Amino acid sequence: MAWVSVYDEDEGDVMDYLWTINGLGPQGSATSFVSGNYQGSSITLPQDPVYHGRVLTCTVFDSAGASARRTWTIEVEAGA
Amino acid sequence: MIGLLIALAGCASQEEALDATAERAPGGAELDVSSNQLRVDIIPGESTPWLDKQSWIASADTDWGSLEIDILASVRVSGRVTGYSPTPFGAEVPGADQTPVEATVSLIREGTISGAAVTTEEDGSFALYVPPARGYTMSIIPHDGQHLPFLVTTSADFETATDLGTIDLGYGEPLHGSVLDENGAPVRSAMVHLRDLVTGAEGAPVLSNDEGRYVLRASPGDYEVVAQGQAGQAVPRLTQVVSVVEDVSTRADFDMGDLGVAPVYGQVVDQESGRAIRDVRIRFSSESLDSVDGTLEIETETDGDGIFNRSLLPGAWVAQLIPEYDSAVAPSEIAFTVSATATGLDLGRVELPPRIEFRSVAVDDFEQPVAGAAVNARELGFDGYIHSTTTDSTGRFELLLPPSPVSLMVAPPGGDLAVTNVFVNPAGEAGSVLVSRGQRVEGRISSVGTGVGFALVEIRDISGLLYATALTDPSGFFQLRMEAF
Repeated sequence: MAWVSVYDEDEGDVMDYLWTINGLGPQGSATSFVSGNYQGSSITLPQDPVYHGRVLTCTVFDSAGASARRTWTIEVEAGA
Repeated sequence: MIGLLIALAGCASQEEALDATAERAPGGAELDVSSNQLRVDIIPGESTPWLDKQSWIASADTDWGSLEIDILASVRVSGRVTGYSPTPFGAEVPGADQTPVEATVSLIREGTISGAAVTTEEDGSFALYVPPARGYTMSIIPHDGQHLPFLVTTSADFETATDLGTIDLGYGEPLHGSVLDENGAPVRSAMVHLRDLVTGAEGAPVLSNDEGRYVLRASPGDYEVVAQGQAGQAVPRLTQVVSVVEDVSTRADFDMGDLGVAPVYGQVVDQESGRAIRDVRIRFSSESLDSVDGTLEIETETDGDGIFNRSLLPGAWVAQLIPEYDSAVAPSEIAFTVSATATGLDLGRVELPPRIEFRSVAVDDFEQPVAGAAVNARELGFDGYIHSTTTDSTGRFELLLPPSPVSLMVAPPGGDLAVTNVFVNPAGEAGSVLVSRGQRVEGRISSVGTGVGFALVEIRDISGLLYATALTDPSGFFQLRMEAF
């Protein structure tokens, strides 16, 4: 499971989150959340060897077109 | 400007445990997967890398207005796995007893997110780290299922660091049989594996040989033997239940029926434009097969011309057509029958409908707009794609959704309104989504008394259905409201 939390100085901005995995494209299992002054998105992926070694990227866009990005390399335990 | 803060659980260890009782014990209350318990999943952020993701189980007496959840760093569970192997690695005498075993060792707290898995080292040793809790299921699955049984232990408590010592899988009892078609011809390279009937743990598969024969080993107990083709093969999945008893060889033969196939083909197009759609995943699932009481699921994808072609066994089938997540078209489903006498079946042009713009507004029970709420619409069936957005200052939101019912979760900001779940049909309804007041949930996540800041907190039932999400503040406090439970 991975998640991001976003703080935006421009209160009330609508955020869009795009989760992608290299070679597999956009992922459709992420859930957005809001908590106090923060908002974010989380994603849970199955323990499938197909994900091993691939890069998971979350890109966050605000309504003004600004964006930020975070990446992780996925490790799936052998035998999963 | 956007600041990305935290993410991804890490792994660390700490050899401590709480002196605690009842739900204050590590991991909360006793786990009972047969009851409708709620759980609180805590996924710490990068500010507390020594803490792993873990679940805390609520009890009937839980005070949801004043939760105090103390989570701990993971404890080390270690040991060494041995058994019989004719081709061991790291052993000097092939065939000797008590040789190191290559296996996957997993500790899973069923119905929760607590757990870990690891592969043994060359000397059979392993060490993994799990959040301290009761009720783990430990499985040791040797990668060689032909010569070694697997081991499953339930109700294992790991509240402190534990050295399990040497775990000998032994030799088990033989379980063998043949995989043949209806004419008695061998089915080569069919995969056969065992599933423990009590825990659902599955052993490593073995392949049938050129004569269609296979052999597995199992410790005494009740199992389901599963025989199936390899991925993409049109060989059905058959099962039979067996009881393995000590000092007795058990036999389980499989008749796969008539394995004659017919090609099923067609083209997937956009219903509006008529254009071919590439990379549509097509999941064929048998409803019934003509010659055998089994099942078969096969997937394929459309090519650049939207064409698909797959050989299937005679019988009644359903095909789910699932476009990519960011596609403008929606998933769809068709049913068809492959005749035993057919030389092929042309499904023709299969049209996928466009996603439709679903506009709605989130309001409270005073008809006031709910601004800044996270909205998640989850498709029902198919791959359960989730489409997300946020309500604007007037409470309105807009999503591109399939023309079929979806599950909508509206998570309002602040602590006055509840995370609300409703079902809507984007093709037939718009209206408004009433965000209820629900029940207040408030608490603090700590670790050895110190607040765990910026942790993701999710409240789910044991089936995994998400009720609410929050982030802890720098001192570990969180608050939210969720619908009555």
